[in-house]
Amino acid sequence: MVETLRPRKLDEALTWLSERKALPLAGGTDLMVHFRNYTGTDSLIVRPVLFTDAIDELHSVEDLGDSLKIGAACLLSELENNELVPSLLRQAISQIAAPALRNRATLAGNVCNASPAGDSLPPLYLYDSHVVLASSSGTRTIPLVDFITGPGKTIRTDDELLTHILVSKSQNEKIYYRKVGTRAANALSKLTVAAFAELENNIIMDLRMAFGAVAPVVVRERAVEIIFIGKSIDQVDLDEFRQAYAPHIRPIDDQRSTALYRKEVALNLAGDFIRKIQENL
Amino acid sequence: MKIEMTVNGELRKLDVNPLSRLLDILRNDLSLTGTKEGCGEGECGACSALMNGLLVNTCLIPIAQCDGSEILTIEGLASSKRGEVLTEAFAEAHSVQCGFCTPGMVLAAESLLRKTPKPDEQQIREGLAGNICRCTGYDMIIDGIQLAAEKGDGLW
Amino acid sequence: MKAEISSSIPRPDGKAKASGLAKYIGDHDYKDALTARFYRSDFPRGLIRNVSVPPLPEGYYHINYKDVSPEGENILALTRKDWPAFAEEEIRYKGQIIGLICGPDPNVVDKIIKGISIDFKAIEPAVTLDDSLALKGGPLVGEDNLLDKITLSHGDCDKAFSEAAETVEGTYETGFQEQLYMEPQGLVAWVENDKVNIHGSMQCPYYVKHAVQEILGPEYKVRAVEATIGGGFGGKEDYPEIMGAPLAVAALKIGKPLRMIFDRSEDMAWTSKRHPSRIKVRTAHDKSGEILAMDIDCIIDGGAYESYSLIVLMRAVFTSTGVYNLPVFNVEGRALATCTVPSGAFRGFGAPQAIFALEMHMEKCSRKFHMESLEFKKTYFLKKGDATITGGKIRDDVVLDKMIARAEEMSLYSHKRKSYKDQPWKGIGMALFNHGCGFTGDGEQRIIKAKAAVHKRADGIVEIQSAAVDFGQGPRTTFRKIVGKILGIPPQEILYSLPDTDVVPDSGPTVASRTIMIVGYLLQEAAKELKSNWKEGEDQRVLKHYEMPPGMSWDQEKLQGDAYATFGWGVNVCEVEVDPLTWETRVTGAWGIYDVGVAIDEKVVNGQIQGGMSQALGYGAMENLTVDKDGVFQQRSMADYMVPTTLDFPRTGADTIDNPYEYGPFGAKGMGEMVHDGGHAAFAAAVEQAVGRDCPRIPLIPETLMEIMKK
Ligand SMILES: Cc1cc2nc3c(=O)[nH]c(=O)nc-3n(C[C@H](O)[C@H](O)[C@H](O)COP(=O)(O)OP(=O)(O)OC[C@H]3O[C@@H](n4cnc5c(N)ncnc54)[C@H](O)[C@@H]3O)c2cc1C
Ligand code: FES
Ligand code: FES
Repeated sequence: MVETLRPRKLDEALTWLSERKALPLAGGTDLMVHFRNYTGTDSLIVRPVLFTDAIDELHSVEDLGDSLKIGAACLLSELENNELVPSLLRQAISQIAAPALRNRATLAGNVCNASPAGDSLPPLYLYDSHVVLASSSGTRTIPLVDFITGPGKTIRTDDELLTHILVSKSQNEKIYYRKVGTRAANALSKLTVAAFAELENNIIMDLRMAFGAVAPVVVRERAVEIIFIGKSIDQVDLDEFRQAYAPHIRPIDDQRSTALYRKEVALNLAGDFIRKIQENL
Repeated sequence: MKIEMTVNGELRKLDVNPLSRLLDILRNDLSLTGTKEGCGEGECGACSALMNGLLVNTCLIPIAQCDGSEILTIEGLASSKRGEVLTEAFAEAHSVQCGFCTPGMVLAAESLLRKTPKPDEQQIREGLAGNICRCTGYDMIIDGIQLAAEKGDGLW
Repeated sequence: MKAEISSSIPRPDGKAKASGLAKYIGDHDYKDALTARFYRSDFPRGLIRNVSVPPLPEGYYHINYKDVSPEGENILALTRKDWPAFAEEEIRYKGQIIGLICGPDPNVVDKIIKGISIDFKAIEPAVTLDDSLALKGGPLVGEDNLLDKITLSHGDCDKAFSEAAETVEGTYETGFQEQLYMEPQGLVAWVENDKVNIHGSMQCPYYVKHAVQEILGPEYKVRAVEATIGGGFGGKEDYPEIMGAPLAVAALKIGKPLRMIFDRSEDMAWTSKRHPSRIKVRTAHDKSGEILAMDIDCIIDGGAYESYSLIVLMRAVFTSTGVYNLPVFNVEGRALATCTVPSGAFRGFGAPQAIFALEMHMEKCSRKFHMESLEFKKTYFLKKGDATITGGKIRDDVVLDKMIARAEEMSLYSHKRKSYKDQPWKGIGMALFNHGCGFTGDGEQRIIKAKAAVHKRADGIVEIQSAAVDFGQGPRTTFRKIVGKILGIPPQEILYSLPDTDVVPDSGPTVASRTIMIVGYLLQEAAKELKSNWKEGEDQRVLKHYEMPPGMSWDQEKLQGDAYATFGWGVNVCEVEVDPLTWETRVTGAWGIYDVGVAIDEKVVNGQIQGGMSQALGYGAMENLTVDKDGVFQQRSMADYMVPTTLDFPRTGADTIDNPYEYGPFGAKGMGEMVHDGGHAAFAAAVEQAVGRDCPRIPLIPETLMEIMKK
């Protein structure tokens, strides 16, 4: 039987984590499936497990003025209903799985799982989110883009716990979110597109776009965004916009979809984002 | 490890493998077999229960996380007034065919009605999106929940 | 006006199921039962040289073909004896059952199975229909990989084609489909007083009894007992035999109760699916477009062994001209062997494949001749007195016109069909079909010989005795209503226990849309007799035997005559919108109007219509199931195989048109399967209108639609 700890205090968690190099388990919605064996048999987890769900310090969403500090034990269903959370992110969360799953799953788990199809990631990338990692020897805050290095891979060390996620509070007017899943609900993503734009007198002041499940990590290209920032929105050529993203969309074939489909549709949706703004001017 | 949880209003003290699934503890240790295993991976909702008032998939919950919690299973719900209204409405509206998804559906309905006592069809569809039924095509399940909301007016 | 009996009663089994009280096999507490699990071939094709099983701890057992007693036979007694219950040397598909490991601790059993290694000589697998036709790796079956072949023809097809002004040709393909009953397969087996007992989730207790009997040999007594069953859809027609036969061998050998409950992953990976099909249809037309002849080449993928492929193929071939009266036709049907899990039964049993090809082809023809498809089809509608495809007769009134009128009223089909011509990305489609009720040919008479009884106890309580199983489709409601109505007893007061082959007569398997029409009729007749002969305070039992309705005939050699006593009829309409950015389809409306004779219970019937529509739309739009290079299903979990959720499809508008059938109880005919016959075709026809292209392949997932649009 594996050793487990379900502490209420963060200190206690961090000490035990550094001693045991334990596996953090938040909602378990990824881990319980990943380490599941034939029905009736024991879980395949062999490492000590640190349950994070009871740690008091990780349950709050703190308002830091222009950003939010989201505790690692916050449930997706809580964030979905929290109006401080950017609506783009809430939209993405509300399309993850189904109500019962969102009552257990955490945002931290979605981030640490680092799946290319993690639905919270594209919005978090748009908002230049950061993660806070704590260990018994200190904390560090790093940009999410640097935290995730590949499918299922992060730079978290064994004695670190992700304690918080820092997200901008910006509520943009022109937002776009589209999850293309395997069905209408309770579906994993074939691809996702998240974007927003800030306009002043039709001039693009800011434009950001991120794609999920079309490359090993979320695709967000500041260099492409910059090409269009400063331009007048009605002068953005849809084809040029699509072409600018084309080289960055590098999907694969798997049991859920094809590379061909993912690429074509990702670019269609990118164009759709611009077209929708243009139509609503 | 030793844990304590309240199941259907009764305090239960158990000595368990901390990574056992709540589903298995309910079914095997507590003989509460109304909670079903349809997939074992969070996809079907047959294993639904309420944990501290929230709808959850018991196949994904390590029992250690249930220490100190309150669990409501179909057996507990069915023996309440609301459960009676729901299960009778389900029988009357033919929301039940093979019945394997049904306990989970009833729990999902309970969870929905607590928040939205008079749900419209779309709200029901969203509330039940994690519960798969292969028999009914869902239409009569929706009818059953609306019938329960009507008959049990004031209960939720 | 609907018949009085149609007005619905609450489901007698509803509350117990909803409250979690109903016991499915996994809910029964078999205290001392050992866990039993199969181990399977880990390669797709070849010859086993040696199987090495790790040392077994005390109390653990390994069972394989050597444990089959000499009086028995290591074979699955399905329609043909080609499939060994335990593989001996030859392996034809990855996942083929080789043996069982049993023991008290599931973890230990799991570990032993993971430690098994198989030494084998590999042979190149033929995984696809094309592989099979090319005899890749050498023939798997016979000399040509043909499991079955049948042909039907009428008139001079070649002549018609040579004289045709135009010909239209299309190839239509359907994929695998997983039943995905919500309760995975499960059985418990034990031996008591020299009798082998099988308890569990099965559609056909007597089939299980028979299969177990064959593998054990005649000297053993066998009993099969039903547990409440969590869905079947055909998936628990053959599999409980495939599972039960080896399990019984193990139970007998070990002498302890064995419990085998499949994990969903094992169920999805290795149980039988719907036969994929590739059907080529050619029609010869005169200048005006009128069909002179139809030529159909129908191939279905039978997988590695026969199982029920011949019967599925017969149903597909006999359904291949659908509701149309075509004087000249030629149909060739073939079931090919491939190195995949043997295909099996699934609601519709060949008909959904045939209807898809036919209806899509009729759409194609109507486009070619610039006609509205419904108008085009109407010319050929079968009517009473017409010959069927097998030279039998349509004996009853055909009320298709009334059904279409009702469908128009509910869906505004023709109006929308016209207006969507000018609205891009919107479409509506209609599919028409019929479904022969009961077993094909003289199966009822020759093979099944159904019996059912009504028993009145001395205390006046009435009990239904039938082996028909309620896996959701409703006999616990409808049988009680039939018997209750005749005897004047409230249906809820009639007993109807879970079938036990030691107690109930063999009323045949719960398949082929035969339960109400065949067994229900026997019960009706038994109840009538009981009523006329009712003696207060006496124990009375009336047993009825099936008799073929007068005037029916069937020649099994020539496949000529009345393949079915009667037919159910259906009209499905589906409306869609296509998103041109993602090629996702959204169903915005679905309707099913049926002639089921008379509905014994309106809600039971509508529940079948709605549930069937959901499965058929899933089949058409999303249930993508493909195989890898080893013939293994790629979507083996519910995360990857997509069945409809609450949010995928809208409410199905359901209705029936009464058209009582003389030899059905209260006029009822079969209907459980045909509700899966047409929804996918109506959907694809709607998508064709929305996108303006041919869509000859399902599932029409967005990836497929994109491919079609980019061509
Ligand atoms: C049926 C089903 C449907 C799903 N649908 C979707 C979907 O639509 N979209 C989607 O994006 N995902 C989906 N998922 C995946 C999953 O639910 C999410 O990724 C979820 O957010 C994970 O959160 P969790 O708290 O359950 O993670 P856990 O399983 O507890 O953990 C996930 C990973 O994060 C690590 N971890 C967790 N907390 C910490 C911490 N504080 N510090 C360091 N590491 C930590 C764990 O060690 C593990 O590696 C689905 C899963 C299931 C079972
Ligand atoms: S068994 Fe838990 S969701 Fe299916
Ligand atoms: S009633 Fe059978 S799965 Fe819902």
